[in-house]
Amino acid sequence: MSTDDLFAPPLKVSAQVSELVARHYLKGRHANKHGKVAWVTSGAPVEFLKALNFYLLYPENHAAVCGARKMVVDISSAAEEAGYSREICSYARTDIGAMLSGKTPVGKLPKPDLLVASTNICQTVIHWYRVLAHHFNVPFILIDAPFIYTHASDHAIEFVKRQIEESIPIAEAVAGKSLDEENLQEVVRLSRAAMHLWLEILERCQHHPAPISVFDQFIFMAPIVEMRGDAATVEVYAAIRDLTRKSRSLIG
Amino acid sequence: MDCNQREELADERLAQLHQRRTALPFTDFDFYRLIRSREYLPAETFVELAEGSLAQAADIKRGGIPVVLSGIVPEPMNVLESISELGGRIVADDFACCGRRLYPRGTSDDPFRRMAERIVYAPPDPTRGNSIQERLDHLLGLVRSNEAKGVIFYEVKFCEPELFDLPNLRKGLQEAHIPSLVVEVDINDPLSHQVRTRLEAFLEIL
Repeated sequence: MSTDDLFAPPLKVSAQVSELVARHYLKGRHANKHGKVAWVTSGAPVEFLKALNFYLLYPENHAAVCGARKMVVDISSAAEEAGYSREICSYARTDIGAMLSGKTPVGKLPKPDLLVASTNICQTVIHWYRVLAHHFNVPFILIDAPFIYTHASDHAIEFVKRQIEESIPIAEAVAGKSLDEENLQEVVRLSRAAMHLWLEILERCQHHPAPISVFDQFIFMAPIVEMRGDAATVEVYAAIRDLTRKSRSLIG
Repeated sequence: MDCNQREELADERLAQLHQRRTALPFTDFDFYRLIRSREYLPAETFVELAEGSLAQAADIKRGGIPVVLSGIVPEPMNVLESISELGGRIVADDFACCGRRLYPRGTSDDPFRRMAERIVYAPPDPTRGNSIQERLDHLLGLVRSNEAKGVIFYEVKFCEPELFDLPNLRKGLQEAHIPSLVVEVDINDPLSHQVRTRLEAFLEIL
C-alpha cells in the first residue's frame, strides 16, 4: 500500500486550487522582469504590497511544495552544506537550500526586492528573514505582533497599525510609486471577501464528518497568503465554500 | 542614588572588568565566575566586588593563544578551564549572558525610556533582532581590538537565534582570514572529551 492510499481521494475543487497556485508560480518565473517582488510570511499584511503591484511569494508554501514533491532532502542538503544546522526549522532550511542551490520544483523562484515577515506566525521568521535580507541585500520589514491571550487591546492594535503605516514608505520606495488609496480600498475589499469565505470553510470543519481534511486546509491556504486581494482568490474560495455545503459531492 | 543609577554604575564596573580582563590576576574560569555574579548580586554588592577586583589589576602579560568566544552562555563552565589547559586565553566574548549585556548608560530623564535606551543600544544580539552584518562587524571589532587569533562559537543545542546566523558570521570571518570553530553543547551534560579534542585541534592550528 502506498502512502497515497492512506489519504482520502482528491476533492473536485483541488484541481482548481492547484491550477491557481501553479499559475501563480508560473507568473513568478518572469516576475523580476515585469515588476517588483516581495517575499512574505503566512499571515503578513500583504494588502499594501498588492496595491503597489508587488508579485508576492510565500516561501513557507514553496517549502511545502518541495516536501510534496519529495525534494526536501536534496534541497535542504545545500543549506546544511553551507553550515545551517539540522536543528533549525525545516521550512527555513529548505528555502535557504533553494536560495543557495537554485533547486526548486517550480522551475524558478523570482528574487525578492523586499522582504516582509510578521511574528504572528512564529518567532523563527525573524531569524530566517534576516538570513534572506543578508543574502539578497534588500530591505526587510518586520511586523511584530504582540501575544493576544483573550482579546486584542487598543494599544496592541495601535502597535501593529503603526508598524504597517511605517512600512508603507519603505514599500513605496522599493516599488518606485505611491500607494493609491482607491487601489488599496479595492484590494482590502477583495481580501476581506476571501478571508470571510476561508473562515466559513474552516468553521464548517467543526461538522462530523468534516467536509475537508486538515491536509486540504493546509493546501488550500496558499491563495489566502500570496494571492489575497485578487478576484480569482475570492472565486476559488467561493467554489470551495459551495462544495463544503454539499459534502456528498465533494469527492471527485 | 536611585535604582537606575545604581544599576548603571554596576554595569559600568562590569564593562571595566571586561576591558581590563587581561590585567586581572584571575584565570578565565574565575573571571567568568566574577562577571556572572552580576546576574544575581544586588547592584551595590556587585560594585563593591568589582571595585575590589579592579584594584588588583596590574601591568602583567598573560600567556596563551588569544581567542574570542561567542554564543549564549559559557556552560558547563569547565569549558573555560579546558581552554586554559589547552593553551588558550579568552580576550573578549560575545556571549548573550556576558559581553552582550554591556549596556551603555541611558540619557533620558524618564526612567522607563532610559531602561529602553540601554537595551536598544547594547551590543548586537540575534535575540534582539540585530542584522547579521551588525553582528559580524561587532565580532570583527572584538577580534581586532583584542588581537585575537580566532573565534570559538560555543553554541547551545537547538538555539535558533544563534544557529541561523552562524554560516554568514563564519563566512565573514573567513573572508577576513580569521579562523573559527563551532562547538555545539547540551548545557545539561558535562563537557565531552570530543569537544575537548576539537578545542585542542583548533588551538593547535592557531
